[in-house]
Formats: sequence, C-alpha cells, structure tokens
Amino acid sequence: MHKSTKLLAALGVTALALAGCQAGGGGGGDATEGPSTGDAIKIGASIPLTGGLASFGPIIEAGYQAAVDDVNADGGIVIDGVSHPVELVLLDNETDPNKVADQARTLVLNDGVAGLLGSVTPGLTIPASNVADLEGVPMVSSLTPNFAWAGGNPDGWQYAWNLFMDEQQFSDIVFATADLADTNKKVVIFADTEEDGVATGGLWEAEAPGKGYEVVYRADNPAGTTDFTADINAAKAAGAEILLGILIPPDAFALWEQMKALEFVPDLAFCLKCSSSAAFQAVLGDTAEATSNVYLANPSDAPEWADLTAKVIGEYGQNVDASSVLAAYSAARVLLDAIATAGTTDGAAVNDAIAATDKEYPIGHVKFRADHSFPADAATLQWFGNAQLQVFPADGEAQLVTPVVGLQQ
Amino acid sequence: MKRLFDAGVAPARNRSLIGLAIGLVILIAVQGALGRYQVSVLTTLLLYVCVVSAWNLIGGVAGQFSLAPSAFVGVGSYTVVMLLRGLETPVWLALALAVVAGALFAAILGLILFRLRGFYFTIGTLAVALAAMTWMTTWEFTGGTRGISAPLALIPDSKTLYLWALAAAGIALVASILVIHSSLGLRLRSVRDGEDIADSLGISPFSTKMVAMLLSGALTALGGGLFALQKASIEPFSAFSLDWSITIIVMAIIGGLGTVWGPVIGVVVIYYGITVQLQSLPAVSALLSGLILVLVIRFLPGGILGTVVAGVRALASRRTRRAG
Amino acid sequence: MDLGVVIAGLLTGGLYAIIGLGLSLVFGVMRLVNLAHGELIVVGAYAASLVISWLGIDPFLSLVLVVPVLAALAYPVQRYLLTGLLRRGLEPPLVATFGLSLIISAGLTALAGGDPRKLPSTYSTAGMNLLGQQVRVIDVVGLAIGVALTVIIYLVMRHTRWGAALRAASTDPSTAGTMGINVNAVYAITFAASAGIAAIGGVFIGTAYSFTPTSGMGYILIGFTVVVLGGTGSAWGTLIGGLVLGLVQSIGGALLGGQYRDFVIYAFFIIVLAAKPIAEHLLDRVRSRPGAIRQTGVRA
Repeated sequence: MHKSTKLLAALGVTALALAGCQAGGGGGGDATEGPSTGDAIKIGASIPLTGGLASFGPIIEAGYQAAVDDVNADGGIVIDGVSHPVELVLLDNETDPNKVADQARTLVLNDGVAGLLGSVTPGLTIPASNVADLEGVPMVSSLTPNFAWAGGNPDGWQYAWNLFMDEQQFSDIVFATADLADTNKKVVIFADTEEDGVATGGLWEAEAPGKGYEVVYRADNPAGTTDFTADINAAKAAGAEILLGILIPPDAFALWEQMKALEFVPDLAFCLKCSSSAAFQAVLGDTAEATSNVYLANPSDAPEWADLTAKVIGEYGQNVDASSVLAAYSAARVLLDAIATAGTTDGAAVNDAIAATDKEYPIGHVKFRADHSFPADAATLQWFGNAQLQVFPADGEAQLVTPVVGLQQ
Repeated sequence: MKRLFDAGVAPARNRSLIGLAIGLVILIAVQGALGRYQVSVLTTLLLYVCVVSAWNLIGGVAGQFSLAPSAFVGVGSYTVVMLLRGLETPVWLALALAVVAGALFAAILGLILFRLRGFYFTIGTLAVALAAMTWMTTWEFTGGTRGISAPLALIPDSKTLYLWALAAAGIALVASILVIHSSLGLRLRSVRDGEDIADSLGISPFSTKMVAMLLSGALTALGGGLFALQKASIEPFSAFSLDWSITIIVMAIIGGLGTVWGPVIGVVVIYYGITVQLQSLPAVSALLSGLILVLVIRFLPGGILGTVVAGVRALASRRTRRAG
Repeated sequence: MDLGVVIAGLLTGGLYAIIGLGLSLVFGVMRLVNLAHGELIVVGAYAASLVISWLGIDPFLSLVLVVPVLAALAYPVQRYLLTGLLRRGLEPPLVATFGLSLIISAGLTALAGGDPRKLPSTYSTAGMNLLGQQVRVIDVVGLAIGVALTVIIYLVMRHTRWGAALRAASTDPSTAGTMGINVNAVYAITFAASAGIAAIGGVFIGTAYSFTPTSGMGYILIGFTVVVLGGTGSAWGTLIGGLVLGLVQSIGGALLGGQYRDFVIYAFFIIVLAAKPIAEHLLDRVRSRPGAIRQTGVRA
C-alpha cells in the first residue's frame, strides 16, 4: 500500500510539472517563421553576467543594447513597409560553458530570436555557435579569437560568424613592438593552461627565433596559481628583458605584485587576457603603469561612427573596455543590418546577407573570409595612468615607454 | 494480480516497473504534441533523472557519499565525442562504449577508495574528481584545454535526442527499481547502515559496494555522453566540472535518498522548478538551491518524497486508529 | 634542487596551514566536515574589504572588527543548526555545510559582483631577502601567521581549562556533559573560533593575492588534504601537513612542469589516502598495540 503511495505521489508531482511545462512553454511553440506586422524582432545572447568573466558581461550588454537602441531610434527594421522594433534578450550563463548551449537553445526555441549574438572567449561562444548551426539561426560574435573559434568546428561554420583579432596578431604585434625597444632580445613566457594560454604560449615560443628573439624561460601554470616566485627568480637568473604573459586576471595580479617585490623589472611586459579589462589597473593601481597589452586597435575614425565612439570613450575611459563595447556593438549591428538587408527573419536569407557584408563598422571594414571570420586590426596598448593608449602601430597618441615603470619599487 | 497488490519486495518491484512503463509510454506519446522548447527542456530533465538516479544508487542506497559523479559525466562525454569525431561511430555504439568506459573508471575508483570509510571516502572522491579534471587539461590526445567537438552532421536531431534521453532515464529507473526492491538493495542498505556488522554477517562490503559503483558509474557516463550530444563541443573545465556533482547531489537529497522516485522529484523541483523558471536570475536560483538543501536536511531528512510518504502514512494510521 | 623552490614551497605551506587549521579544529573536536570553510575565508576577505572602505585602515588591523563579527555570526549556525545534525551521523552536517557554501557564494555574488578584488596595502609588493633568496614580505608574514596560530591553538588546548573542556567534549561528549561541561556551547565556540581563523586566512589571501565570490571552492580540497596529512585534530600536525603539501607542490611542479602543479597535489592526496590504512596498520604492529581502539579525539 505504501509503495504505491510513493508512486502516486511521484507521478502526481511529475504530472503537475509537465502540465506547468505545457502552460509555461505554450507561448514558445515552434520557432516562428517571421513576425506579423509590427511585432518585435528579437535577438538574443547568453553572456557572463556573473562568474569568472563577469567583468565582461555589462560591457557586452552595453554594446549590444546600444546597437539595438540605435536601430530602434532609426525606426526599427523595416520589412515590406512595416517597421519592427528590435528587442534584445539576454541570459546569464554564469561563465559556465555547460549553460551556454541550453541558453542559446532557449533563446531560439522559447524566445523565438531571429539571430544570436556571441559571448566572450571560445569556451563560451563555441557552444552557442553550435546551436546556431544546428538550429539554422544566424549568429554573429566578437571578443573571441578567430583561430580558436574556427577550430571549434573543423567542418566549417554555416550560420555562425565572428569578428575579432587573429591569434597570429598576438605574435606579430608583440615582436614588432619589441623591435622598437632596445633590449637583449631575451624573452620569458608566462602562460596558463587554459586553451588560449596553451595556444598563445606555443605560438610565441615557435615564432620567437624567426623574429630574432630567444625564449630563455617558459612558465606554464594552471589557472588559479598563486605563487610565481620560483618562476620569477628563474626568469631573473636567465636575464630576460621581455615578458610575454597570458593569464587570468587573479593570477596576473599575483604575478605582477610578486615581480615588483622580487625586483624583476623587464623592459617590456605584455599581459594578454589579464589586462583586457580596465579592472587590471583598478586593482593594481600604480603597479600597472607601462604594462602592455595586445588588443583591438583604435576604433574606426569613419565619420558615421565618430559620435558613438566619443560617447563610449567618454563613458568607459580610453581603454580596452571601450574597444570591447564597440566590438560588441559592431557584431550586433552586422546582424541587425543583415536582417534589414534580407528583408526577412528567415535564417537562410539573413545568413546570406551576413555573408555579403562589406561595410565600415567601429571595429573596421567588415568583410568575412571563407571561414566566416573577420580579422580586426590589433595593436599594442600601454597603460598610462588609467588610460590604455595605442603605441604600436603608432596612432599619434603615445610613444612606447620602457622599462615597465609600474614594477619599479 | 496477486503479485501486484501484496506487500513484499516482489510486488513492490512489479508495481514500480508497471508505473514506470506507463510513465514512459505517456512521455513517448506526448512528444508529438509538445513544442520544440518543451521537448528540449524535457530532454535535459530526463538526462538529469538518469544521472541523479545513478548517483542515488551509490550515494543513497549504498550510503557511500561520492563527490565524483562529475568525473563520470566527463568520461562519458569525452568517450562519445571522441568516437564521433575520430571514428564517426554510430551514436548507439558510442553511447554503449561510454557505458563501458564509465564502468571501467568506476572499477578503478572502487579499487582505490573503497577501503576508506565515511569522510575519507568522500574527500577521496573529491580528489579523484579534481585529479581527473586537471589530468584532462594536460592530455593532448583528448585535445587538452582546447577540448573537442563532434561533427555537427552526426548530432541526432532533437526528437531522436529526446528518445535517447527517455531511454537513458528509463534504464536508470529500471536499474534503481531492480536494485532497491531486491536482496541486493537489502545488502546495500545493510552496508550503508553498518558496514562492520554487515561484514560480520557474511555480506562482503567490497563487492556489494562495487556492484553499486559499477552501475552508478556506467549510468552516469551514459548520461554524460548524451549531455555532450546536446552541446556538441566539450572541454575539460566544463565536462569534468564539480558543478555536475553539486547539482546531482542537491537534486538527489532534496528528492529523497535511497528511493526510486526521489531522484525524479528532486530533478523536477530543482531543474524545472528553479533553474528553468528562474533562468534570468541565476544568483537567486543558486541561493534558493542552497537554502532548500539546508532546510530539507534539517527538517525533511527523507527528502521531499520521504516526507510526503511519512505524512501519508501518518494520516493513514490516524484513520485506522480512529476507526479501530 | 634549487633552494628557491624549497623556500617557495614552505611559504606557500604557511598559507595551506592557515586554511587547514580552521578545518582541523572543527573536525577534531566535533567530527564535522565543514564544506563551507572556503566560503568563510572568502567572507572574511569581503568583510575586511567593507571595513577598509569605511575606515580606510590596514587590512590586518581590520581583523579587530572582522574576526569577532564573523565568529559571532558563526556561533548560532553551529548552535542551532549543525550541532543537532551531528547526532544524525556524518552526512547531514556535511550536506548542511554544503548548502551553506552554496548560499554564501551566491549571496556574495549577488551583493558584491563577480570581479576579482584585492585588499589594498602598501606591503603586498615589498620584497626581502631570505637565505639568499628574494621573497615577498607578505608571504613570510603568512608563514608567521600560520606558525603563530598553531602555537596559540596548541597552548589553548594543552594549558587552559577551556582547552581541557574542548578535549573532553571531543573525546566523550556524554560523559563531558555529566561533568558539567556545556557541550553545545563548546561546539558552538569551536565553530566560531574556526570562523575567526578563516577570517584571518581571508584577510591574508585578500592582501597577498585576490578573491572572488567563488574562490572559496578552490581552498577546500587543500584544506582537507592538510587535515588528513597532519592527523586530524593535531595543531602541530596540521602545520607540518601544510608545509609538506606546499613543498610537494613546489618540488613536483619544478620536476614535472608547472602545468602539473595542481595535479601533483591531488595525486599526492590520493596516495596518502590509499596508504593511510596501511601506514596505520604498520604503525600498530610496530608499537604492538591492537588497532581496534585508536585515539581519534583532539591531540594538541
């Protein structure tokens, strides 16, 4: 008698849940073919508003929302003479790659988005790109290095597109910048074991000799390492004058402070990934002075984007955060402009329109390559107080400073 | 008929099996009527039922509180994706091999850790789970930190995936029913309640625990393989993430440990009730899960199912007393 | 083998000892597995961050406020939630602290956001020379804190009436109760003390490194490894366990390559766990003592 009570209770709860499922999800139904007159056109993204990459969340949101606001201000997207407002739907993936695919699917199946936008880093963007291809919904992403993103689908992306830097730039720009300074050409690499750490560290090590540099020490530590003293002392002993680092911010904070304490002051110190957000200088203060980063070059100076650029820089400061906002903006604009050009929300038609993109955006003159990526220009940026100024290729703003002043006692 | 409505182990087992069969038939039939979003939600829900039932066998019935289900999810995920990418094996074969891989890993885990009791066993499983994750980040064969992705053309469509998930949940529940309502279940519970006493009664704790571990590992790997098919791309930090263990354990405890249907209830409450409904407020959903866990462990030791059953029993006995 | 590697290992070991001491205390006295210990450390760091933003004082000075507050918050948690669960076996309190850790990290995320933070100080970048090796002053301070805490705990356990009450309650709670020791209060104060130690650890980590709402999880396994290595409940054992672990990680990383730093810890821990029963068995044989009754209470 008691066992069947258990069974009934369980079946009852499940039945109620399924009923709720029906009621709640009824609105979703099948993916919409196209909106009826005046209906909002939705685009969506799964972004990290909490978790390890939470500092990027609000920045990406700002970029996407600004694009949506600008399109709406111009009268929305006009299809067959009817003006459709654009709506942005965002879900927080808590910097958990496991959640991204589910959320992307929810956006497509439940919210009926006409297009997806990306996240940051390959780990959070590739699962959404997979969903885009599987569901036939176009997706445009940024803030994800091209080679790693393309590698996420060896068979080639169909509906997913990306605009960002090529990893090759991380090597070309870094060594070209180093050529500007007078150093002993000895390099130390600090890489973490995350996917971009392994790739970039390997790239630097492989290309250094060809550019006339010698890697005298390489440190590979798992993300979350707190103690670098042994590595720093080894780098000092090897006489390295150039530091190439790719670490997560918490590790970088520890490394930078430990270098200062141990009196290791290289001529040039690059920190990719770690100083890709203004938080680097906010946390380290003076210690961040003259640290370099390779990131997006200054935004396009095309007149149509001058106001936007000025507004974003006014709000975020002259640093990578502003560039990230503009990159996100560009991705969203590419998607929205393609929907407008296609004159429909049909996935295949919009996809073709994206493929035909050939226009100037804040991130540069966007034209996609065969592998669906667009290589944005990269540059070396250096911290001057709380601003990151482009020093190479020279843009008239600032000149390269050596040594790394912030690490001096 | 007699064997269905009596008290006793065999009738209880038969009732549960028939109940499960009815449930499965309903879920198959209803598929056509559901929208694509609901099918997707249900698929994930069913996969959680599979892995939570699997953990329930070792953590609930056998009482060996393991923090390593994440490692089995990872093993299953990687087995399936590597086979699809490298050899283009058919999905059913890849899943079957994931099951085998899960069982193998379970055997190794058991051999190393089953001599340990209580806290030491639990912390040992945590170490194994983390060791597995860090190992995978360095193993080039599986792509290291880059991870691997399955060819999108080989990923089953959502209807097929739904049926696979249904099959996985069904298999896990059948295994639970057969284990719990059997002498094996009795032996497992006796090991849980007093390992030395069980040993002195002639029950081999090691082999009993090992059977539960093998089943649990195999089924968790099956779920992991299917979870991977939902994502197509995996890498070590997410495939072996401890979050899997946390979620699975929370669902199992809240539902009711050691019971067949507890995991189902736990999954529905946590996944559907909290994760899905509160999708736009993840901080709230995490907070709520933790709060419910503390409240359940403090006030509802048998989980939701245990409390409901106890409540019904109390009501029934009160009625009998009043009548008599 | 570079002396620098050894010194780096010992200094890291100081941090590991601090993490382990709080865990060791509650596990030794109450057999409580506190899975929320990592979160308590992080809460200490955030609390200090708050105090510093109000009063602008040195992080270590903020401990004067942070430690009592955290201890006071922890007291009722043990008194009214965890002590009752201890009676029901090993799992319920473990699960409850599990739930608490989820609540705390979610709460911190909601209140403070996910950005990494540091506690501002002038000496986190100061260096000094130790035995010919250049090291960070703050790391030496960490080791000193670890040793100091160990000494304090040892002295309290061995030479105060309070410590005697603690040891009695841990060895045999019911008898201790009949002797007039308020076991519930003892347990609650122990947990509060453990939270205070966690706060000290949090301030140290916040000053020397950085923290986020979810960094607590990473400290738990280190903490338990140290506890198991050191022999549960022994303060000196925990210190030595922490130092050994730091050395193993540093030397292992130097020998096998930096990317194996974490793996070395986990592998070492599994080996220790697997070898523990064998080691105890051998020790018993050597000491000609039946293995049936082993001292599991608090040894100082």
